[in-house]
Amino acid sequence: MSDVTAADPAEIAALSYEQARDELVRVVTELEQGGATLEQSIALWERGEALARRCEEWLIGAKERLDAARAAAEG
Amino acid sequence: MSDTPSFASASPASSPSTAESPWPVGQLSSKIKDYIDRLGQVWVEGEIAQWGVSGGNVYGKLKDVDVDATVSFVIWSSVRATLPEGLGQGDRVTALVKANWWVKGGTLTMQVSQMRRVGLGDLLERLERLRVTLAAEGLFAPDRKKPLPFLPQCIGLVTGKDSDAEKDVIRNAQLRWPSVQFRVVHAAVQGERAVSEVTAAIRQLDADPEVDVIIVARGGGDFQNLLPFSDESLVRAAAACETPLVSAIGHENDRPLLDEVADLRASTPTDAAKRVVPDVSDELARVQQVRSRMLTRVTGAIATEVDRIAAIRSRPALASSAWIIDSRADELTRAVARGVELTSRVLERAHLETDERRTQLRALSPQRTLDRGYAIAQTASGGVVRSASAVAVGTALVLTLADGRLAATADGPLTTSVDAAAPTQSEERPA
Repeated sequence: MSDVTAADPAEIAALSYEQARDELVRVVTELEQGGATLEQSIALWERGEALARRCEEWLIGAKERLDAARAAAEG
Repeated sequence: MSDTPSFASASPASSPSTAESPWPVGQLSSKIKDYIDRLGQVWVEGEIAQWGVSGGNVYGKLKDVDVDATVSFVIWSSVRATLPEGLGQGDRVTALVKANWWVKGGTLTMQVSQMRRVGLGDLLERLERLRVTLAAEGLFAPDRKKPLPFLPQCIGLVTGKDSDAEKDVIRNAQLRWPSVQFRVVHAAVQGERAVSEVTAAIRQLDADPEVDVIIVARGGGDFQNLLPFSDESLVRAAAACETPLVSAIGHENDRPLLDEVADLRASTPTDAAKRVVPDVSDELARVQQVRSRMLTRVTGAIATEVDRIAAIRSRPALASSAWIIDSRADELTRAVARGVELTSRVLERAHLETDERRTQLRALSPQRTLDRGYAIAQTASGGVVRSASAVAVGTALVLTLADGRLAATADGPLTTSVDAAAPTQSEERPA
């Protein structure tokens, strides 16, 4: 089992979108294998949540920027 | 001519004029004619400043090349037919003229009987020599040509004041790119001031950091009018110009040397505008096209990623954290239930055993024997007294009866019968 540090916001915020997404996939796979202890599971889940949030923030931000650019282009 | 008779008649009357006896106008006019006629025919050299054809005759003006002096001339149609082809305004000519005073109109006109271009061969030869010299210096080399900016910030324009060339360049440039900026420097584009003014204008615009392309425009003209644009000092100034320079000097033929050193040669001022300024609508359409392609691509990529994250999020492992606790809580509940079940089973078994033992115990109890009237004698230390001789006289005894215990004292063994201490001494009667 890889050692799981609970979600460190600064570390996650520093990840690029692709890094965060790949890490999220890895975390979910590990959770699904079910071999973790309770403490590890909770830590993994928290980390997964934080990673998913980071990905969504990134995508929403990108979408907003796109919409703004489109609005500016049409306006 | 037709006036001669009146002149002849007026000639003798040459009395001095006074306020009391003034000359008639006719007399004055005749005298002027007399003077002028004495001049006879002369060869003059000058530049044709004006050239108008009317009824086959030419009425024009001849201008001095250096000083400000002009005379009118007329070429009768009969003479005109003998002149070289294509004479016209701006030509430098020598002409055989006779001054002619027109009495009726009071005007002086040079009557031309011959006219020819001056030094054209000379000029051409000089020009050709200069062309060869400059070419040998490499001033016409293609690798000296500087590329024009794609979209000029500010176009420097050298042209004649209020000229068609100016209007053509500005109008066509603005049609293509409405916000295009111009810095216009007016200069004489023909005549003796042209060389110095055009040269100064090119230097001025070249020194202006905002100007990133210069157009020198003139709306055509014949060979002689374009001579300033082949002047060595002007051509060298244009060659030395750091800013890309476009020549837009009219005609296809008679290319002035400026065309050779310019970074781009435009056939006309309109052509210059088209080649210096891109078409804004074309460019905007191109940008719009690229932009929409870009937007489509990026929007698509983001949508793909959004779906991907949503899919990961909806996987049970991440969708809810409850399963992590729930699965373990279930385990715990099952373990507790199993513990309770096992413990109660053990308890129950223990109960049954206790009951069984109690029954067994009761079966072995001496109570029934006591009920039948026997008693158990015990010493204070609890030992059962089984022999009469085992107890000394005065020993305290405890007698256990069917319904309780009784304290007694031993008085010693009885020898015969039971009379002295019968109740207390009947200590043991085995059943």
